[in-house]
Amino acid sequence: MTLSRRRFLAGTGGAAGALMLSPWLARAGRAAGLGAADPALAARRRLVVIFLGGGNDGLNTVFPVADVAGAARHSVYRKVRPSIGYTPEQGLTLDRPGDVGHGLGFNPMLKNVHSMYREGRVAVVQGVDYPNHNYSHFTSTEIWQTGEPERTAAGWLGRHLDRAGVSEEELRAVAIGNRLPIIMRGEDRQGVGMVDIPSTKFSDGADTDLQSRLRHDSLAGFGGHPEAEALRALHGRTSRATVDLVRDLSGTTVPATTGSRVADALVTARILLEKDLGVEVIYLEHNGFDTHANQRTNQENLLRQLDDALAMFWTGMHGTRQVFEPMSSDLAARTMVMTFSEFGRRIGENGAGAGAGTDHGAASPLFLIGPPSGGSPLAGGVHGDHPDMGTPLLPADNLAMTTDLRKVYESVLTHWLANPDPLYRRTGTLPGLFR
Amino acid sequence: MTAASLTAAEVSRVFGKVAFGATAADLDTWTGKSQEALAAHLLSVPSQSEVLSAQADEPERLAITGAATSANKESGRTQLQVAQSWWLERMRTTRWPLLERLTLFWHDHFATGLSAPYPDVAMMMGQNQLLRVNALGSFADLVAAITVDPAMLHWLDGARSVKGKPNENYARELLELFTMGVSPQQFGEVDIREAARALTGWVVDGQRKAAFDTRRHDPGFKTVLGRRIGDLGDREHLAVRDAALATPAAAGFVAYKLVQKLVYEPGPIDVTGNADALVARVRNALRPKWDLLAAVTVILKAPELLDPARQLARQPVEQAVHACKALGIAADLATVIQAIDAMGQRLFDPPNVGGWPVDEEWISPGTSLARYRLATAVESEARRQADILAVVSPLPAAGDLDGWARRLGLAPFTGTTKSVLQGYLESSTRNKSPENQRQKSVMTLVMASPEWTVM
Repeated sequence: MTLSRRRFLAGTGGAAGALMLSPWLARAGRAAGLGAADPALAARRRLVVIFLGGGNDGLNTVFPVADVAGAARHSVYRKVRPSIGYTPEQGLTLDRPGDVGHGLGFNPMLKNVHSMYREGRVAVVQGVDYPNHNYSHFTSTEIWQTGEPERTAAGWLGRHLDRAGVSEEELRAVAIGNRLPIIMRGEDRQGVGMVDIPSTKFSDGADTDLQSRLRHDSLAGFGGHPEAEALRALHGRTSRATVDLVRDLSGTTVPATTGSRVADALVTARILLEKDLGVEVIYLEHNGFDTHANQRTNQENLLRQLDDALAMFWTGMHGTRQVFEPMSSDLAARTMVMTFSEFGRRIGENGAGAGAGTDHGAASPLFLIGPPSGGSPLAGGVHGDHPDMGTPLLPADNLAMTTDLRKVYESVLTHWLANPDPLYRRTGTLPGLFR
Repeated sequence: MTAASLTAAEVSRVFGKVAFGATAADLDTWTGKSQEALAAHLLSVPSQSEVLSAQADEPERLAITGAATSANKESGRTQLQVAQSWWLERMRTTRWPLLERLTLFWHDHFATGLSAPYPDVAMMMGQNQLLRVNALGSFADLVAAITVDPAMLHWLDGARSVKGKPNENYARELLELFTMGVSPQQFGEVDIREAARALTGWVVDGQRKAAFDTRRHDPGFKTVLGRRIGDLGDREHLAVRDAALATPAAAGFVAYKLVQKLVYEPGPIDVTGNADALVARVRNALRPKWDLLAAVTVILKAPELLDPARQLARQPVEQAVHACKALGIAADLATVIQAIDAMGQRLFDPPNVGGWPVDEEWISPGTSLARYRLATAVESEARRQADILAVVSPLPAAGDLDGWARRLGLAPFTGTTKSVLQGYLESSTRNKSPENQRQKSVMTLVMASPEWTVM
């Protein structure tokens, strides 16, 4: 963990802390129809980023179901994963009409992802990592979240806000969870962290109660704390942002919990996107992938939860329960989901039998799931090369990078978010990922 | 070391950072005294055996006796709440708040959690005792003890690591998070693999005790950080520890963590090179014998601890315990525990092996609302008990801002806090708010203020 970054980021709030005009007033005015609908806002694309925390085993997420010319990947897989490996029949094939010979299958838990893949909505990018891989959860998470393997930097989505010209009063980026991760902290701007919609309210009552409103108005006043005390100023600005957020979301109805944390987070994401608050980027976490032991059971549970939650995000159906209406085709046409994890895991398993797991590894595949086909700029299918797995006689120990994560970010910033000044020009985009 | 007498703000800051906050009595006692005297007072912790005997039968007394995480979820949750309540009350009422603060520090440093099928609450209580007993002892002893602590053996899979197929989970975190840090990284992947081999053989027996099973241990030679280790059986983990602690990185890393979590974030960490002046002094105190008492003494006597410019965001548990202690109410209320949980801190259940966040990671609308909820829970309990509290010390009138600062263990309000509170008093007067609402508001707003969270 590079402990230096936090302080570096602390003093970067800018002079906007002195701004006393509540940004909520601007948004409330818009919601009340006092301003013309912003056409740029209406056309803006949305991105939901899901962090699979702990290091998701990519090799069991998309696994080799057959050897292919020049690469005995399935033979190696069978050899190195006698306990936790899947049989070819269990794989949900990545071959599609006109696009065959991958020799790969999705984990059997990823049924919905597979059917979206077959519709051409899912891009599987193979072997994603960065140079000089670091096996630490914390260092590797930070590199993935900043997109900078070699230097101290702010988060890549936070810097997107900086460079897209987002103003202090916009509610443009939200991180779901009870901390604000570095991915959402830029040099000048940052996202807003919230747990969920039901808890985004004050414990002493709503603004409709005069006594409560007087307190909430006062709380917003801490936003004027002098910038010289960086942490206290951040605390004060956050107090004001909190009052605004509560007012933005007051009266929002929320479906009952799905019983799945990641699905609930995606319910929150859907509601935030559907309320026209200007939210463009949402980050959420699905944790528990650090499967040093009992991998089959643990990873399968997590992938099933992810798969069910992703299906619900668009269809509204969580298993057999109708949580809400299907996403409108207008919103769906502008919305993309992206997954990532801090690393994949090692090729070989540790231990034996049901208790077997895998230790920290390197490259792994990530998913981008775009709009229902037809005019979607995202090119579904398999992108990038599969990492070398060695031979059955001499299996590789680890999966090395074949796709630099910065190329994926550059593509997303350029082709999906239309950032005017994307971050990774030197690395370039991943050709063919977007049409 | 300053010979000057302490101001109320300095007393508030020292207690706020290392002792779960000041009470009005603490302010009265220590304002005007020397930092040296306050340091001696906070450090007057009893010897290890006394601390130990005060707690030996605690899990039994609390009926935290059974394995209860995955098999029996309800009982596990209840036991977790019992354990959390017990520790929060201990933090609030202890005569040695520094010792509890350091126990919390080590719980964060050696972050061990409960998620099934990992350790049970009884094991976590056992580890808690281990941390307390060693909190001001030798860091080398502490590392040795935690390596074969039953809860840790479960949490980082040591108990599943076996000859031929070693599990690297503990070995990696022992080097990365517990002893050497990675800024810059001074160990390689080979060191982790070799250390994992040396640590094979440990299991947890049916009595929740660590045991060494020779058949599961890899007796071959390993090379860890340049040292050849082999055939030492159940003493190999000590050789691994010694190899880690012998690196130049280790003392600097542990010193950095102590300063970062107890005083302020001391700029970029570099475990090999120049350090912040306070980190360097703590490192030098640690170096010869890994003496934690010596290291913490340096911190308590440091002028940096008094410096108002060196600020730190307090953890939710610290804020909750302080509020309850200062107001004179119990800290084990369900509403308080729920609010701490909502702020992102569950005792005995940290988010991951990296422990809890630092500074700005604690600060988001999510945590602001949870902190507000904590303030509401605490102030409503204080007002509910107003008659009882009045026997010892009545709650101040809403308009008595100096009285509120003192009651909540803070220096008289200045700047933004003062203007916000005065602004509230004026608007509530205009709106004819009743006194009980005004009292509620002042308490809530103080506990929601930047000065309260960031000290």
